[in-house]
Parts: sequence; C-alpha cells; structure tokens
Amino acid sequence: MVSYNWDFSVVWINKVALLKGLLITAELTILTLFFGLILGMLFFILKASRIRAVSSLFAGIIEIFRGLPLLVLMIWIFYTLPSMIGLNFSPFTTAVVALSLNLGAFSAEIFRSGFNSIPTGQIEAAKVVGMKRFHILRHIVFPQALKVIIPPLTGRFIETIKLTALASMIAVNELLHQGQNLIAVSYRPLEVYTVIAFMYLILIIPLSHFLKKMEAHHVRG
Amino acid sequence: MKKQNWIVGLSVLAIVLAVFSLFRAPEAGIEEEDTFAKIMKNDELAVCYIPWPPSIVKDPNTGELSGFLIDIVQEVANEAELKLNYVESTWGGFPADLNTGRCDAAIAGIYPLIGRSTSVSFTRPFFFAGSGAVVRADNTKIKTVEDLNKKGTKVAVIQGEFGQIFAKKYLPKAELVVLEKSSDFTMPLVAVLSGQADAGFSQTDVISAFTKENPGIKDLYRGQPYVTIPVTWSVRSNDQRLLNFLDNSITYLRFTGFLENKARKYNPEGWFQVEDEFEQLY
Repeated sequence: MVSYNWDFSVVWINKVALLKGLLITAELTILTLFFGLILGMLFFILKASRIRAVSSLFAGIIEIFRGLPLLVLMIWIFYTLPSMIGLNFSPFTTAVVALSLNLGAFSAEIFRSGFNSIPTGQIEAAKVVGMKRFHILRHIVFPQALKVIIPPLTGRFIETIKLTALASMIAVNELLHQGQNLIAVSYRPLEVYTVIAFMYLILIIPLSHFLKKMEAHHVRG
Repeated sequence: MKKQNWIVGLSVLAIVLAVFSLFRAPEAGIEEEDTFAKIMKNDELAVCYIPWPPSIVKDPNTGELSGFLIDIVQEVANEAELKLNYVESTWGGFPADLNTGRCDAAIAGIYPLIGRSTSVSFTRPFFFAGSGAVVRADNTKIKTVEDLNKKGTKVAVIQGEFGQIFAKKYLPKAELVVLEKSSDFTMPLVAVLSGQADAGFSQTDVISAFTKENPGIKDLYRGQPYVTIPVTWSVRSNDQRLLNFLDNSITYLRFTGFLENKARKYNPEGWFQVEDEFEQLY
C-alpha cells in the first residue's frame, strides 16, 4: 500500500465552495429529470405517430441521442452549434440540454417498452364492455405500463446524476468542477476527490432510496 | 419500427441540419468581423481564462480571480479603458471558445506549439515557465532522468503538453501514461502519489507547491527545469489587429518593468522568468 499523509482541513476550510458545487449538481439534476421526462414522453408519442414521416424522423432522433456518447453530444452542442446555426448556449444550459436529450431518448424507449407490454386483447375487451378511451388508459394501460416503466427509469435517474459530472468538461461549476478548482489552489487532490465521492453519495443514496420505495409502491402494489 | 424507418428519419434530419447550417453559416461565422473594432466600439474585451495557480487563481469560495496573468490583463484593460468580461474555459476547450466567439482572447498560459498555431494565433511570450518531473520520495532507483528510460518504467504526462513531447523524444523505452488534457496540472503528480506511475511530468511551479503539500513525492530535477518554455496568450488566427494590440501591450509592460515587478510578487522562488531565456528542447 502506498503511504500518504491525509489532511482534510483544506476541504473543511473550503466547504462552502463544494456545497455550492453540490447545489449546482442538484439543480442540474432536477432540471434534467424534468425536461428529460417531458422530452421522453414527446419522443415516444411522436415516434408512435401514424404519420410515417414523423415517426421515422423521431425514430432517427432517438437513435442519434441514444447512440452519441453524452460527453461528445455536450461538447458538440457547446462548440459546434454556435458556428453552425448561431445558437450560443451558456455552459449550464448546454449541460441541461445535452443531459435532457440523452435522458429523453432513453426514457422514450422505456415508455415504449412499458406501453407495448400491454396485450392488445385487454384494450379490445375494454372497448367491447364500453369503456371510454380515457378510462382504458387510466385503469388498464397506465397501472400495468408503470410496473414495466418504473424500474428501468429509476436506474436512468441515478445514472443521470452521475452523468452531470461530465458538465465539468465545459466549465459548469458543478461539484466535480468546483473540486478541481479547489485542487488547483490546494494541491490536495486525494482529499478533495474523496469528499466529492461522498457528496455524490449524499445526493444519490436518498434519491435511490426514495425511488426504490416508489418502485415498491407501484410495482408490487 | 422497421430499421429502414429510422434510417429515413436520420437522412431527413441530416438534410434539415445541412440546409439550416447553410442558411445560418454566413451570419454565424465570426471570421468576417473585425474583432478589435468591435472591442473598441463596445469598450469590452472578453477573455477566456483557465484556473492555473499562481498565474490565474480562482477563489473556490467567492469565484474571485487573481494572479500574475489577471494583473497583466487588468493593466492592459485599464490602459486601454476597456471593461473585462471573464469567461471560464478549459485547456481542451479554449481554441473552440475562441473560434466560436465566446471570447476574444485566451489569457491562460499557453505554449505556442506548431500544431496549435494552425487553429489560433499566439502573442509574443511574456514569461518563460519551467517543466519538471517527480518520483515517489521512497524511490531510490530513479535518480536521474536517464533512469526513466527503461522498459517497464511508467511515466505520467498530460496529453499534448511539453512533458509528453519530451518523454516521446527522450524516453522511448518508458511506458507513457497519457492523461486527458484537463484543467488540473496535478494529475501526473497524483498518478505518482497513488502508485499508478513511477514518474510524472508537470510544471515546475506546480511541482514546487505540490511537493510541499505532499512529502510522499520528490522533485526529480530539484527545482531546475529540464526545459523552460515560452508562455503566451492566444487569439483567433485572423485577428491580426487584436494580436498587434496585445503584443504591443506586452512590450510596453515589459519595458516599464510591470512584468518584472509582478513576476517578483507572484514568483518568490523564481520558477518563471520574464527574460527571453529558454533552453532548447532538442
């Protein structure tokens, strides 16, 4: 084992800087989950469109955003769009857009697998007994689809929090970037990275616990 | 969804993007603008910076900037009565930040490599920085740089930096651990500290500060850099007027003694120098 003199005092002195980073990571996560879910639902609906051009276009869009590594997408949006179409986002907005497109593409496929898992026979039977479209969705489709959707979706949520660290590459002052700035002035990387790891866990573990409870509630009834 | 459907979709999307970019390209391109005229008209100079203590220090708690390069650019702005707009950037991202117009000049300490000169222009150097290497303090086998040139010796370098150029040229037998170009010049030193590499190359100032905080590693060159290299600022390749303005400003700050005074203030141990003295790498 390599010997090392640990000294966490520099982290304690600069705790406000890391807490600010944690706050920006949380903000990034919340906005991404919000816009990502909206985009996911939109992509899913448009991909399922009966108009072939629309469904083909959104099938293509989903393939692109699922296929592109998130870091490449983020850097591409940040550096290429300004010269390509004059769209100049701030680093924070770029991160939210890239993370949301990534989450949206993956969650669209999760929604598709959830809704496609309902046997068409059930829907037809509901129509035969005279149920309205809204009631079919409310009482038959959604409860069953949710059971299929929630487990993989919670996994994506946790993954998304971890992916926010990539925003440090375009100088978003999130937790990792704040840590790197602190390392640059303190020369104490091992202590800073250790504390950052704990801070990510502080963010992820309660959310993971909450999502598991929600999953248990919906999936197991 | 059939496979050919999303292929059709991708094609449609590609055509839409191509048409869109075709219409937008002349407006979005910044090549046609005279950056210097724009700066003087708006009285504002947008500068990209990369935290790089002690040249550029970003206070982790307040975000306030200080340091040698900040003092220099502030002096230039004061003399020309310009307002500074600071934009944070990264080592890998500053050429793109310049070329997409996020900033007019990059004021990080940048080495003017030939490859880099194909995409951006560099000012004349305003100081010369040293490069060095570290090994673990308990390493008794590596005493000189020649000891690194052995099969099985791992040497950590940062992608594209002088350490990599040096190691490629002079340490062909060593195994290079090439680290991603990041905002953190301590990474090769961390690699040595954590046992991932036998030696790590970085800048002398970083080594000096890092070894003080981390006695587990030692400076292989004992404060004497294996090479000193010119440090410059950078602008877009076609911004000749801005380049002239910055070059003239650096000349002025040099002959008035401003650079020398600031070097003494921020550099008590003499790790960088203002004079045009640098050792040949090859």
